[in-house]
Amino acid sequence: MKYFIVFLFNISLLHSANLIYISNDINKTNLDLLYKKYHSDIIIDSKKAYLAPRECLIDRYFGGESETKIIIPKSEIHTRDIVSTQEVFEAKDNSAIDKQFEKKNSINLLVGDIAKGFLQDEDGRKFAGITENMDYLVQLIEKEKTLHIKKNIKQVSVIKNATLQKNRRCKLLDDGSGYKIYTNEKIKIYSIDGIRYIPNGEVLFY
Amino acid sequence: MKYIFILIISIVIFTGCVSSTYTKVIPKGKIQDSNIVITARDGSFTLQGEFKSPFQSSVHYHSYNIGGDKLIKGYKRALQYDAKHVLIKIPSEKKELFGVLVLDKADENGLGPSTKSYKIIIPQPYIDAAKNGKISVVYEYYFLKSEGLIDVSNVKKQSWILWMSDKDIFI
Repeated sequence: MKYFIVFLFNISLLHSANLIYISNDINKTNLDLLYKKYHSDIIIDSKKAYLAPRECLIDRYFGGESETKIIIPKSEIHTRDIVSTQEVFEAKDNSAIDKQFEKKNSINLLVGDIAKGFLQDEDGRKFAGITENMDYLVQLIEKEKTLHIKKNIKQVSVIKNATLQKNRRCKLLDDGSGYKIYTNEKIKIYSIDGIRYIPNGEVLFY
Repeated sequence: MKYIFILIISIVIFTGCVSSTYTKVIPKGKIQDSNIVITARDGSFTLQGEFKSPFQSSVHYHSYNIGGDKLIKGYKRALQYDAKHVLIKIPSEKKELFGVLVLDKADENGLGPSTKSYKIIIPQPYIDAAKNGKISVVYEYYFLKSEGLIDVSNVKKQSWILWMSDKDIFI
């Protein structure tokens, strides 16, 4: 019976992804800095702070078209087919758009670090089918990282190398309305609205 | 001829026609700017702030069959599939805009919060682009889960679409 329950639990974890461990300092000041650095909700348990990987996140997407040119004030002229997340769609100037690209890059930096470690640690033949793309990704990330480091970010406590946490996993809900976090510990989310508890582990996007 | 027919039927069965035709109701929505009011021209509903979906259309535009001019002029087809004529009251504009609103059912294979509720956003640049009888269109979209033989994960499907113009050209 015990093995059957373990089997069922493992089935439920199919297609789940590891949370990204980013810091062991969960005081409010540091969480605030982490939020500003990654532009993303921070998942916290009793000791550590994590980011949800891209596999567990879905944005709302918006688009628009017009018979005439769409002019964003204080910005260049955009023509047709601007497809974007809400922040870019509603952007009043370039800085709002830049902020979104910065958000994307900061998450990419972490994913890139992990991808690079993955390549170095594992036997290349085993992953031959994706090595070329991964190399390209790493090159791209290195380039982005050089640009990113130039920006002066306040002192924020992060661990030296972000790692994937095998016993902290998340999985997109079937209808994509949010994601579920699998862990034995009580989970909280730090976002722009402050800290909120997630009693059933389900984080909804709305 | 017989073999071609069998081949077509097989493709339809094994690929699910690229995207499924099974749909689910999207029961609620919200207009991001609570000062914007969308009213049916026949007086059957008024939307402001959070709302329960007053109707559900079945336009099912997606990125395989729509884009560019086709989307801008697509209100004609949308009206055949239960889209509604509306008037859009925007605080920054003296006159109401004329419009056509689609509140589509969600594809069963759709992913994301857009398949659970509508979030209607009308940025000012698109309002400005709807002047002098020109048409401007805004929409929200989602992606599909890829479960068949053909990868459909890049297919975008619109959940709501709003065509706007300052002239009454949608009749």
